[in-house]
Amino acid sequence: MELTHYLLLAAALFSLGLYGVASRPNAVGLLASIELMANAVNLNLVAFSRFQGQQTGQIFALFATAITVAEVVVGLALVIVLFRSRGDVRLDLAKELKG
Amino acid sequence: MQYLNALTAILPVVVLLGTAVILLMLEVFSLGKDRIWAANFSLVGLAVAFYFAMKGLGAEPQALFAGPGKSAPIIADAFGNLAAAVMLAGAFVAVLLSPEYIKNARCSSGEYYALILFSVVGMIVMAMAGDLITFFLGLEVMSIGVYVLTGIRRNDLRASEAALKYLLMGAFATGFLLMGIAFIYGATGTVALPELARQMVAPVGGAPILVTGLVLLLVGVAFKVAAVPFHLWAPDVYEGAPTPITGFMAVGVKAAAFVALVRIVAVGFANSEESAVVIPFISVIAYLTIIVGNLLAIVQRNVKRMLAYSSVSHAGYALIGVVALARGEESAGAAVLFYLTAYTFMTLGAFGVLVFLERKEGGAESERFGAFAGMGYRHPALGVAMSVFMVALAGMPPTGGFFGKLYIFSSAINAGEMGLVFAGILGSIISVYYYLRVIVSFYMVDVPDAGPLPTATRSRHLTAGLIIATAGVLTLGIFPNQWIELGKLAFKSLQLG
Amino acid sequence: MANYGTIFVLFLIAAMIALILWTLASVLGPKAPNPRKERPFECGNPPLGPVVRRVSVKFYIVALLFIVFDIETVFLYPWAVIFSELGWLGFWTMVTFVAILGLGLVYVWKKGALDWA
Repeated sequence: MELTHYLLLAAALFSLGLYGVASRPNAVGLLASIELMANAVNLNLVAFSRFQGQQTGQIFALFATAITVAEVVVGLALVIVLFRSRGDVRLDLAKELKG
Repeated sequence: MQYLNALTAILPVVVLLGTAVILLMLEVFSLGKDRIWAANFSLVGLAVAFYFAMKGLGAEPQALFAGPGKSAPIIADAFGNLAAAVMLAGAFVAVLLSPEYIKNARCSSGEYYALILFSVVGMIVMAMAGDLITFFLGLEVMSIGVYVLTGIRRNDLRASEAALKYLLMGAFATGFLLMGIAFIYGATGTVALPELARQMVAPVGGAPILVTGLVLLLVGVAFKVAAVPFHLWAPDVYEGAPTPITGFMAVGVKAAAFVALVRIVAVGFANSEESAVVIPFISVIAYLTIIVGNLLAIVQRNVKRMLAYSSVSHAGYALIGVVALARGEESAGAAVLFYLTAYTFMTLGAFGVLVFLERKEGGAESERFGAFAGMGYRHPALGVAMSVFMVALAGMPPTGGFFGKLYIFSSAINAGEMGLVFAGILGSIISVYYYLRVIVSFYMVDVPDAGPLPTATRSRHLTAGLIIATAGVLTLGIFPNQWIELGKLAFKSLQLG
Repeated sequence: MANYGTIFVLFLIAAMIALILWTLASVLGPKAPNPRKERPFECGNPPLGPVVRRVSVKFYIVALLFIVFDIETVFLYPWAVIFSELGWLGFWTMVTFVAILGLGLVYVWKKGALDWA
């Protein structure tokens, strides 16, 4: 296994996440896609760390995980708030991005 | 003791954290039913933290919390402390604006102030970050606080949607930022800024990876400061958030992101070939941000949205400073700091006037230009204050806004970025139109059916906030030298560390 | 990699057997569909209500709080590994971290987010 393999896998995961963000109409799906992107990054960090023979990347991956979890938790809490007052959690970011 | 020494070097952060945690505890043990105590308590905390930040200006740069044989995650130097002082002053004014708004919007609020303080902690950590991990942590502490603050009016659909959208866009940007840091780490084997600078001296093996990493990092930061074309979330979020919070995030988030960017560029990537490759990228963003931000601000009918686009365009002016800095022009560091300070006061002041004018049941209607007709005659002091803020935002003397732009443009001229300066001046000329429109609508003939008048505020907090903002804008305009010298001194401390 | 070849063949055979049996059953088996048979199976009784039920929102809140506190403890593991190297600086840093986390728990508790009723 070479570094490139990990990087390619991470790039694929990252792109899948990007596609998900662009295509999902549902806030929970969006959060899942964003999480996929973050995990692609973590894979990269750990792979770089392994191939450079030092731990900085792994520690960073740990921090990144904790932070993205905190972000997702706040996101889900907002989803609950929105669901309580509106009854659905649709939020078409792709449409929003077009203006 | 090592730990206590480290804490004394970052007393502003310690004080803020302590205040915020005590606030939360007081809130749940319901020791104060009167809401104003929470505001006063956080004001005291912010003032004490501000005092320690100013005191820290004279201290030697200190590298803190380093593991054995590792680089330091936190660097407490004059630059970090000066930036912290600016953010603390911004948060102070934002808190002053809040009680009036909370009373009118009837939103729950014990946590409101604690979240502001937590966000400021994140901002200061960003300003003092010695490596990219700490920078990322600070950024997220700040962002998560602001996400929640945006949606703190839980019964308001507009606010909840804005908060969720902001969070999703922010998390999306975080993905890019993280990927960028991962690539930089992969190319150089380090995330510590001083170490990065050493790596840059020798040509790095993975230069394309490094350039990709830098570009992704910049995309992430551009999202946070709402630079075009990553600004699409800003107007809706600015409109949906509580008005004092809109002001707070317009100034605080931007100041923190730019200060961190200055440190990263000046310490980590000064004069490296790879960072020269990305300068055109930053320049393009700066051009787009200035032009598009100003043009879109013209067509807005809602003043809050207009201010949102105006804050987009101001991110563009600050980006000119970053480009100059990346070209190796050192005066740009102090210029960006000065600009951010002036921007903090004038923007918060403008939002403070909005807080004053928003009526209880008015909603989005009370933020339209027409709703302000004749306000300058009904509330003369308010009219003068708003005129000062608008003149400052347009970059005209004798205000801090003028000198901010002057310093930025002159450092860009020194760096040979004539095109950007031209765009900046053009943008400023465009902006005069929509800023003056606010003043014009303030002094337009009194419309008889303007609806119920907002009663003159009895909130001493709001009045104090507006006075501080006006004084800040004018002081920076009349005595700019002191502050720019302080900025230069602070910027020098970056190179010592 | 070569050693995994046999396992791969095993997977292939297993998949083929499953496929063959499934095809045979659907081709040869007798079919007499009626509405009663096509209802969702629920232990012989007629089904009660929709299959996908809404879960109380309380589950989500508890789950969210759990995730937050759960993930924070992750920091204790790398810290514990190099605890002795870090010395008192590392010790007090972690004490502060856990103390703030503890106050967070107090906040959540007093706020009533842990009460089920």
